[in-house]
Amino acid sequence: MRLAWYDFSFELPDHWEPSLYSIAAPTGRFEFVDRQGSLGRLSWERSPRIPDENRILTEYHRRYLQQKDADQVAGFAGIQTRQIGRFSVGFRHEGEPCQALLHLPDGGKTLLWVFPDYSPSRMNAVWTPILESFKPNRGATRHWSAFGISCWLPDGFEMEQAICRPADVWFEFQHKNMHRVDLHRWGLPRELLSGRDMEQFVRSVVASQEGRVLTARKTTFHGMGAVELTTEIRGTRGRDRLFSSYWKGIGRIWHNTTEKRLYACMQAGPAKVRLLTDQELFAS
Amino acid sequence: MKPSLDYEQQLHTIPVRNVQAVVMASERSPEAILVEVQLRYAGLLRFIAKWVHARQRKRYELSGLSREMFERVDGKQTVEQLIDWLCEQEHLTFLEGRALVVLYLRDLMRRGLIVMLAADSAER
Repeated sequence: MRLAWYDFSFELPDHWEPSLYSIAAPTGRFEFVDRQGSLGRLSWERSPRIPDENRILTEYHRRYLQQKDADQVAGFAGIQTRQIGRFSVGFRHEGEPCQALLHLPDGGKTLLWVFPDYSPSRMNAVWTPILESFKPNRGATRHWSAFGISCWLPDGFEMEQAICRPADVWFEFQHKNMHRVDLHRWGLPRELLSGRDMEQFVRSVVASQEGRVLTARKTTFHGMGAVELTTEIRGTRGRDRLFSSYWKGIGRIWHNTTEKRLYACMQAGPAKVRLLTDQELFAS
Repeated sequence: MKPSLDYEQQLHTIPVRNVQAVVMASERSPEAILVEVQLRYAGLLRFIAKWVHARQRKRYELSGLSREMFERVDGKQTVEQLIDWLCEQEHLTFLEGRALVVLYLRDLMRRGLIVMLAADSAER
């Protein structure tokens, strides 16, 4: 499973599920769990200058000990560090957390992974592949991948909202030129489509976002049953907002029967905005 | 104060159907079932309900996945087993399955269709 978010991208084991996420670009975090409990936490924060990595890792561990058992702090003589991929990794004893730190000079950010419960075997089998899979996520297009949704968007798009409920994920992106891209992923399609078809379902979704479907046409998308749409949404800028003009949009909903998921992608924007093609959005 | 259960205990809790709930076929929809439960009014409401002849029983129609889930509540399967079943059936992740099952069971519990037994009380 690829996690790609703002300036970073990692390959994570498939059973790692995000239980907590942030959509703020300057500072935020992801927490990953499985049914046994916590697996790791990835946080990012602004740091225009290069941080003293060893000092941060040591201080982090010292504070951990202080919280857990203040008596151990007196005998704390520092941690071991090593380099894995581009990350500086700090660890001490088995059962204590392991930290990995990386400064991204391009984005002026620092990434910090905290893995609970250090053991050499876990380090080699699980954490090293994760840290080595790191790729910077900056350039003309940026990859966004989490919660089963994956897309590529040109530079300038910002995440407006991410609503990740169980079996109901919705990412909304907006460009400075007001070009809006919405991506959805739903589980339990047989419940969502009971007594109605995909067109009726997507009409209700568009209506709930203050838009309307103009035309709908049944088609296929990568061999999956799909419905292509033309839509319009209320303008949200300048005179369009004043006169409640509509902005034209396009969209598609498709049913991945293998995954048992419904996906939808919708875009809309002011008249002069060029909407993205499928190749641009879903290029791998 | 209500007893609180930790995460592990919650997973090993066993949902049990209300023994007074009556399950019957739905005439309106052949795929659905009706579950009828007795309503209980608490405190002063009991007297008011008796005075105004308020209804004493209520019916719920369950169809699709909600029916399948209810039928799996047999007093033996734990919450964890229901989650595993739902995840396998609908290709959901564990967190998705857990959230949906817990919400559904909470809804059934509020309506008096089931009760939850902690694993140790179920053994007794």
